[in-house]
Amino acid sequence: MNIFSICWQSLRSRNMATALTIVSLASSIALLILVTGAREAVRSGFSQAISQTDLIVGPRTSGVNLLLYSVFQVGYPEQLMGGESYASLANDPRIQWTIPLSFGDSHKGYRVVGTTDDLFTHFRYRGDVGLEFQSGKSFTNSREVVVGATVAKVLGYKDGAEVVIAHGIADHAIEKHDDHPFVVSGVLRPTGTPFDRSVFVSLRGLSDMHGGEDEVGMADAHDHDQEHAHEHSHDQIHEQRGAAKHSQDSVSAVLVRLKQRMEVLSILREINTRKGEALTAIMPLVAWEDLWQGLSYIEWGFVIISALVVMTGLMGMTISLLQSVHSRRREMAIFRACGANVRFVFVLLMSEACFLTFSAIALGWGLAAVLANAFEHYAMVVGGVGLSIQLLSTSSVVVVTAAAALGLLMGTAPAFIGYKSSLHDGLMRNT
Amino acid sequence: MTTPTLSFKDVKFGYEAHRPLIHVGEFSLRERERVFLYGRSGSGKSTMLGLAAGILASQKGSISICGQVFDNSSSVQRDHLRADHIGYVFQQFNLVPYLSVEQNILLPLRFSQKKRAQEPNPSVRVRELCEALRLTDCLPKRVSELSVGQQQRAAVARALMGRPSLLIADEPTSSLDADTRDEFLRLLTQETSKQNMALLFVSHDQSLAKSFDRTIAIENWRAEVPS
Repeated sequence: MNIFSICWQSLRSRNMATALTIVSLASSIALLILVTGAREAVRSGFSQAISQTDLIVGPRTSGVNLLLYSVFQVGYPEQLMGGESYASLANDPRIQWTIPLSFGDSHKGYRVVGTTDDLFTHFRYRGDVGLEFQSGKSFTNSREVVVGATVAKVLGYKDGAEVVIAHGIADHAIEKHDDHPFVVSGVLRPTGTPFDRSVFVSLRGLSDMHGGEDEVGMADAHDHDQEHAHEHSHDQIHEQRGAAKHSQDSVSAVLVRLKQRMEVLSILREINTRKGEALTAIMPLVAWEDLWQGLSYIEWGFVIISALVVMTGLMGMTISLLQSVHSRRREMAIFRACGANVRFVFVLLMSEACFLTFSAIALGWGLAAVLANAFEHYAMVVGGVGLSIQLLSTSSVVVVTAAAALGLLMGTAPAFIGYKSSLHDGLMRNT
Repeated sequence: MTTPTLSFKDVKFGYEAHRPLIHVGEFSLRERERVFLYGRSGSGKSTMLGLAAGILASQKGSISICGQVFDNSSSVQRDHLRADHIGYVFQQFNLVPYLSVEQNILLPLRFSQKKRAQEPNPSVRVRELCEALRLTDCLPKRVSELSVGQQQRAAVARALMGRPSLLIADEPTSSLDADTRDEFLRLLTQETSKQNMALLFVSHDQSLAKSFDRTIAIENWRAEVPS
């Protein structure tokens, strides 16, 4: 009978205490793994949501705000960027492509994104993945919409379905453009980006929708918007000029890809300091890092809290081991009388601490995997963000190793006390 | 003359260095000899047994078991000698509660190469011992299901396992009623003599002395306390 089977039977004889100790330790370890994992996932989640975009240009606002509303659909623009500015970007010879984005409307709680075909042709995420249709095709006129995968799934939309778009972001927006129904022309494949939760409409369609009630006009900007040339027939009645929100060519943000990436800084400076309409240009990754830096104290707060939780779990383990040591002095005396030396007592108690720690780590990792899955699912459904929480990252390994080392270190306390008392008690303890 | 199983020579021991508690001038336990150590509680019984079993190290003099001297400076060596030569029975709570009765009886083999060598077929031997000590129906039971008398007999079975030369019993009958006590003593005597073991039996109950070869009062070994 080896020492591990003795240890195993000893733990099993106290299975309730053993199980509770393991579960409490495991949940704190799971929490720590999740917090560190989620930290990295959120950080890298960004690079998955948008790629190959060198600059994001929008109306004068803070870089973080521009980034949040254009990429993550959090918040919304305070003002719009004029059509002329968009046109000058689109026609700039140094620029390879542009994608205009216009926000401000919603459909049953999902954002409506006014854009052009450029989105479906040029947009890239997760490195070099473009948007693909799981059915149908892009909008071909101002009365067609493309819906993201989540929208289609949740609302049960298929090609040809009729949708009504409301003004404003909220689910129960008061002002509904009931007189202006749209038809679904295509459904996108799931992307794991906020676009899954979007309804895409042509810029023209968006301005048509507002044209009727807001006296917002179509501009004479059709010329530089070639892909919409075929829509002219629909737009006859809206040909009024206006400076209001949804003129056909004013947008909330423009994603820009340069021909020469080397020029990114000079073009950035040029846009930020240009005369005429005040614009903001950001490099998405840099803006993201800025935002992240600003949030880092919250992030560290989480890490510190979960480290404290692990400490508490380990202390719980130590307390339960210590208590068992005191009630087990008799047992140690029996082993000693049978010829066990003090090293045996030490090793026995130490292996119990090891067993508790390592099973807690295993269980904690499993728990973290389950929770990470749930969290990824939640982030996808609610935020439309595809996160992948790495459970086997460097930092989680560091964290777990630290927890194991601490667990063993704290396990030595009961082992040492058991060792000491078995030396003192000898055979003399009779109760 | 054969080597004594246990021998004390001018042994002094005290928990505080300059206040010896026990002073044993000369004491030896011959092979197969059965000695009754009589002492009231507080007379230094536990200390004597701690010394005899090598748990405590004497400050002066020498204690040897089967000719091997306990090394005062090495608890590992003393643990080793104890594991090889001694079987031990406590007053009560002799068994490890979470091990089976059989595992408890086999426990000494885990700690001694010598005892393992003595028992080529441990599980057969467990059955034999249990039969002799009338424990057969206890084997499949949990320790907590055993009566006190059964637990004490299982402790004897364990002490006999591996055929050590000396069995030390520390008040093994004090938690038993009169009938079970007599039965216990009878079986203990029978099995130790069957194995040619020496027996060191400690009790405060002088009425038990009659079943032993020799009686020694522990009082005699009390060191005079210098005032």
